[in-house]
Amino acid sequence: MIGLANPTRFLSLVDRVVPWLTALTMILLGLGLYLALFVAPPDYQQGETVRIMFIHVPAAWLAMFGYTVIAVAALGTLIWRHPLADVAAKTAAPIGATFTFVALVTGSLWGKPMWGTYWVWDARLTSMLILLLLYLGLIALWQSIEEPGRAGRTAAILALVGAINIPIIKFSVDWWNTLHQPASVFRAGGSTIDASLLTPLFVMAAGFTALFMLLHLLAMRAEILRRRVRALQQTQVERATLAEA
Amino acid sequence: MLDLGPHASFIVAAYGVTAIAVAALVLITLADDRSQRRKLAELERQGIRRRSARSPKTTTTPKTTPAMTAPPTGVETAETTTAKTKTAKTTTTKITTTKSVPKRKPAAKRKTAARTKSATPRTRKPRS
Amino acid sequence: MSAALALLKRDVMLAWREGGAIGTALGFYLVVVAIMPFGLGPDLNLLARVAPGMLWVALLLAALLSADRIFHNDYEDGTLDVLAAGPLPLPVVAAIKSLAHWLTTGVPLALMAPMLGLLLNLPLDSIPLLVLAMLAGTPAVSFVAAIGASLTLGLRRSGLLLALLVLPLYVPVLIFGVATASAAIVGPASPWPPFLMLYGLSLASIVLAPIAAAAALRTALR
Repeated sequence: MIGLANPTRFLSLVDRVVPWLTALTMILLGLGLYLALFVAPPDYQQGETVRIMFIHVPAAWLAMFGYTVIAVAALGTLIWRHPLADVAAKTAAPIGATFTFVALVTGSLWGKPMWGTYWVWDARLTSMLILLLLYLGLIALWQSIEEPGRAGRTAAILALVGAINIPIIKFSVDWWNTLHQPASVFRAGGSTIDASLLTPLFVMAAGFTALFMLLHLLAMRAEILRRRVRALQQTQVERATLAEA
Repeated sequence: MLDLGPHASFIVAAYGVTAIAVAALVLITLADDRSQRRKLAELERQGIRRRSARSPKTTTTPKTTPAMTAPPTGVETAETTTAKTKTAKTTTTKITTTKSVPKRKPAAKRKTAARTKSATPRTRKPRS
Repeated sequence: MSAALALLKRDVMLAWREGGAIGTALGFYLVVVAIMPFGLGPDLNLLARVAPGMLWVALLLAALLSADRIFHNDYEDGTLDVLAAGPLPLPVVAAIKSLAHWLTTGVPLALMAPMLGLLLNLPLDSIPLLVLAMLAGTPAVSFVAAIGASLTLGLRRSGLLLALLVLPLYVPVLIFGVATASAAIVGPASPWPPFLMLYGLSLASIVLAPIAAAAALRTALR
């Protein structure tokens, strides 16, 4: 991590890694899609709709992974003052939010054939929704503060506050859910998932993770360049005002 | 062919939304990347460079804007030299002892090429 | 200790003298609860069923909208810089200000809830539990609101942003608060387990929130 603190070094690393990572992502996702759509057998209970699970569950995992990345980056910003930590946090937020959104939509589309409604306030979906709200809050905060240094530290504090709250929220939502006894108790894929369903699931999850990392690196590169542009534009303005004077 | 059962529309919708979301994310990221590179190239063309890359231009002077006449940049390079060595020491203390310049690919970016040319006479440490 | 008490006294007196802030929060609470039935319909049974939840949600919104002033006025005129450089540690300053907010906004809102409960046909025997739950939960509300206030200090649209950031964090307070209040009507048999959770949340907020708020204040003051 310390070796990557130098942005230029980091950028050269990104340039080297991206082609391989792109290939890996495409292979994993391609294989995963093939397994999910053609190889995996239909579930005896849910029929073909179990295929949605191969997107929904990995997306949910990536949503949580994304927030973990942000929380670790927040520690990097506040405690170790790693120069690239706030870049990592800022760029991971939209990606994580997108995966959360995908998890919610696919969860809803999975639910309609199964429970008859597009939304149900069960513990899992509700927690996903709150996670989306936390992501949106982070993105909104990043957008509201212009100075990148202050934005990075402020967002890091919010990310950590959210991270500490997530177990509390999860616990209270679980408690609330058992209290109100929803009509159907929902377990993703059942409490025991058959092996023939596990392989596509893990391959899709690996593919999504590779995709996350690829997008994250690309976004970090763009952000580093954006900051350089900003600095240079400031120089440009300074030069112009000096030349006029 | 693929028989998706009675709820095929939901499955298609789910995969479709995911594909659109992922595609949007990829396109936006790539577009942003390209946009920043374009802006950097534009600024580069106007002769505005980052401090670290500015110094070789004074010695080799291929195309310089009027703003880059010798005296002011001379002062700047002196300042940037001290700034460089100072920041080089603080940011790259641990790594440069083990993984140093030889591993860098100078062709990777314009700036690193310019910098490695200038770096050798002054300092051997990679810079941000 | 005397410095802390002096700060508390100052903030409480400022809030009381300003009057408008507290009054507006209470007025907002009244208005929101009053327009609920227009949205839900006048069915008293329905209103009684949703009353605890509605009262809690409206309280959260009223508290959030007045959270801005926890640090804003002092930030504007430079007092916050003085406090930051003063004898009290910044987390203590944040804690005192959050406490002042609770005393001047949280407690009045909690005490006003029973009257508004009558508008929603809240069963009378659940009023003591409601007030108790609110008094136990509003410290968490104030202290977490202070985190939001410190994060959004001096920003545009800080009120809305503050609400967006902080409301997801209020979900546990809301869940346990409503469970306590509605135990008499519906829900768990005994109100005490959720009440204890609520109380625990408040205590945890009092201890932990000022640390986060102070960190955010330092960032904003730099």
